[in-house]
Amino acid sequence: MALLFQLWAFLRRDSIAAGTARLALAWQAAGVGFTAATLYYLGRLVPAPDPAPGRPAGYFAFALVGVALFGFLVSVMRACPSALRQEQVAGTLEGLAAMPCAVGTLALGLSLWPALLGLGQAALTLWVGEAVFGLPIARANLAASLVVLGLSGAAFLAVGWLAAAYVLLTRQPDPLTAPVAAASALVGGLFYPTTVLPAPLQRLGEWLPMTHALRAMRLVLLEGTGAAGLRGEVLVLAAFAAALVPLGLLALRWSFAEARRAGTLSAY
Amino acid sequence: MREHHRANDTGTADRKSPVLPGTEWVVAAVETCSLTKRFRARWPLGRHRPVDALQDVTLRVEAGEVFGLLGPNGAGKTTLLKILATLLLPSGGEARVLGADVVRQPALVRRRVALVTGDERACYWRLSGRDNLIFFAGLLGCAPGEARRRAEAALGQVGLTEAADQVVARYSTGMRQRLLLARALLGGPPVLCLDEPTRSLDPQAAEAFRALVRRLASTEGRTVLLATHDFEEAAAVCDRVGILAGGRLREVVAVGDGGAARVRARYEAAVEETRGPALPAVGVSPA
Repeated sequence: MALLFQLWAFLRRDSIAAGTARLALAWQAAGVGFTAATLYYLGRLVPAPDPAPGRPAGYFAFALVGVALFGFLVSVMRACPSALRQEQVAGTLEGLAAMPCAVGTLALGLSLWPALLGLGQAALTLWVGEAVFGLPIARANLAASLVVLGLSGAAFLAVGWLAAAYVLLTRQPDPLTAPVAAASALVGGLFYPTTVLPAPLQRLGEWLPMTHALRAMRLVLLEGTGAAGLRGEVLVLAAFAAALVPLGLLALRWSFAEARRAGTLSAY
Repeated sequence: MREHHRANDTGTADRKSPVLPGTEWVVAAVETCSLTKRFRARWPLGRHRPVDALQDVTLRVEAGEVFGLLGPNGAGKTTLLKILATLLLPSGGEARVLGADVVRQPALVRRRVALVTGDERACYWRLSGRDNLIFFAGLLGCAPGEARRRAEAALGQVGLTEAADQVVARYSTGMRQRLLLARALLGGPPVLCLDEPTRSLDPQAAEAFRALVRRLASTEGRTVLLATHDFEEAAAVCDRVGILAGGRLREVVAVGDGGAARVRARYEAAVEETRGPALPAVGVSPA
């Protein structure tokens, strides 16, 4: 129960702080409309990337689902390192570290609000896509989409913890998440199917969780595929999460211990 | 380092001490034994020489005592308090807070000790004072209602109830310092570590803060460790003063009658002992 209260405290704090910057929130929401409109008109030019029988979705649907999920996963990944860096620079990290909270609770708490904001933005993107531009997601399998979101979100959260460990050790901005996001966009199948890539890049893409998350989410939202049809992708995402979450947590614990040893918790 | 028998106490046997049930042994509020902290050279280039911030510090502070750590800048006061608050790991020796080891039982220690620094940035400026405290009470594991109740109580203790809904950015330095003290009081810790809490305050605000600290110690029985480089402050607030210089605990002085003069004399002697050759006066060329 104490863990829930601790996470609630982070959520409440961050929502109050975000409430003092309402214009930024409004601009973020407006950006969703611009993105959806841009992809819609682009979709009128570009033929459907995968025109197999029984797959009615055109390029607009392909790209919009990709952009919504990509945005969510990148915001989850960046949440912890950027929040930690902010605490370092603001001078509040030491106060947090002095509280009787486990490192995992701190990491989760710092990530919670940005992750929820990213989720809200993804949901808004899909809603605008459906309501305004006719995105065909009526057949979407909600339960399966939650499984994909959960597993891919855990994998990307853990990549963010690795980046946060670096931030804590070096007191420098996170250098990891931007290249991971860029590589994921390039070879993960964000704007085009990975089949258009040269074979080596396709093979590289298979080693990124984004590739599997995008593939699974498109199947779930656009074709209504259930858990059985997703077994391969779900297993790969589960393997990524199972490997990365303990690794990220260990790295973060070690970096907190190192910062305590070096006396750099209050440095930035 | 184990529990000391009450009869072995040195001049502090009359103080309130938590006696373990069923025994006559007394656990010190704070106890360190040969505590050492060496900041290592920067890896891997080793561009900086290692710094011995604390060397062989052995100290015992009884429950309910207001103990001063007096020393010039760089004496090791902050290092010692941060080790007790588990924000720094010692390089050697041991430190315990009410019997809990700061290295092996950090979670327990964090429930027993709270650190107040003189850094007014240590709270969230875009939140109100009340929201700051509700957040930190939540991190202590309090349910939302309990967190609100504790925040109200702590605000009342430091006299910030009327300003509770103002954002901290609008607080004066003195108000922020009181807010940090309120944050420390949220969990009802038996030990308070205050690291130069009055360094940015004007004389009136500093005096009010000292009065608040004395009240917390005398009426609530909390143990207070106050780090300062102001011997008058140390003599005015503390029961005993430990003089730190060059990372070593030089002497522990009981304040008592005429304490201020005695503390000042011992402090100046200790500082003189650790100081290098005097710098030439400004504008005077060395011979």
